[in-house]
Amino acid sequence: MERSVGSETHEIAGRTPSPEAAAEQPLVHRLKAGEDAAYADLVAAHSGRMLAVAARICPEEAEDVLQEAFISAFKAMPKFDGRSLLGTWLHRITVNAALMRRRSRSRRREVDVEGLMPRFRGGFFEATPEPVPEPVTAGGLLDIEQKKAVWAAIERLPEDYRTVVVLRDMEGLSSSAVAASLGVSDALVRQRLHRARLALTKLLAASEFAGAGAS
Amino acid sequence: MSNPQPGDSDFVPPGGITCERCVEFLLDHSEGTLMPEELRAFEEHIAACPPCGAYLANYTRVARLAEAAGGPSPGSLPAPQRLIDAILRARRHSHG
Ligand SMILES: [Zn+2]
Repeated sequence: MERSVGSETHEIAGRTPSPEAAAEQPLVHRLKAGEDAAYADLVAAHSGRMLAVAARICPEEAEDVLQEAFISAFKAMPKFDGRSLLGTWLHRITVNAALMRRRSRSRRREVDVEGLMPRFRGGFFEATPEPVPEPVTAGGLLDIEQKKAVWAAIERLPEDYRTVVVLRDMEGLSSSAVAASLGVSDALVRQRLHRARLALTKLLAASEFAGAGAS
Repeated sequence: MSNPQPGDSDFVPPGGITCERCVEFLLDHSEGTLMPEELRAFEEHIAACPPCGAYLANYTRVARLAEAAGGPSPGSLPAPQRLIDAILRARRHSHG
């Protein structure tokens, strides 16, 4: 690999950047210096993937989400510390923007997760839990009504739980990637995911999802 | 029923674990990270405890539904040029 000559490289104290992060450093410098062409490169390189993420979470307003995400990213660029890749950082910003937009549209009241945990007596189930219906689908894809019902349930989760479900189950990030992205421990991510799933079994068993698609 | 029930003095829980413990194992089970003896207890419990069997099915289904609600990941279509232009314009304006 070629040594960079004459350009100072900011390395994160006490941390060797990954080869990928190191390869991005020249671009990061140009971005921090406010170079228009660097921003054009950034948007060209990442907007497609970000738009796909936005469309997955907030299909009705994906383009608005993309714009908001980039505007947040531009504002935050001076604070970008190079510890994650630009793509990872932009992904998290896009997910946040998409979730915020959904949130402001839906105005659903959040549930108390504690109240949705399974009930035991002396450590044992008192009754067989209500089933979450199996969606009748073609090729494992949900129809629009089913998706709406699943989203309606996810949106009722408190934010900390909702974000973990979206990043892990929908966006397919690993627990440690989610933990790094949220700045919390791996164990906390796993605990939230587990409790979110327990809560969702209750919400979905009781929801209109029960009827959707199956009839 | 003649079988000993939870609370009876001669009751032995399936797999030697309670339902509550069994439910705690669900995430590790879904990720294949249970220790061998935990996995054995879990599987024995599930096989003999209909409520936990039903709960396991729910748990698995919820994870799959969340994944499916995210929709297919489109093979990253390029963003339309007009949108890219609008984003870059917005940046230049905000920077005076
Ligand atoms: Zn049980």
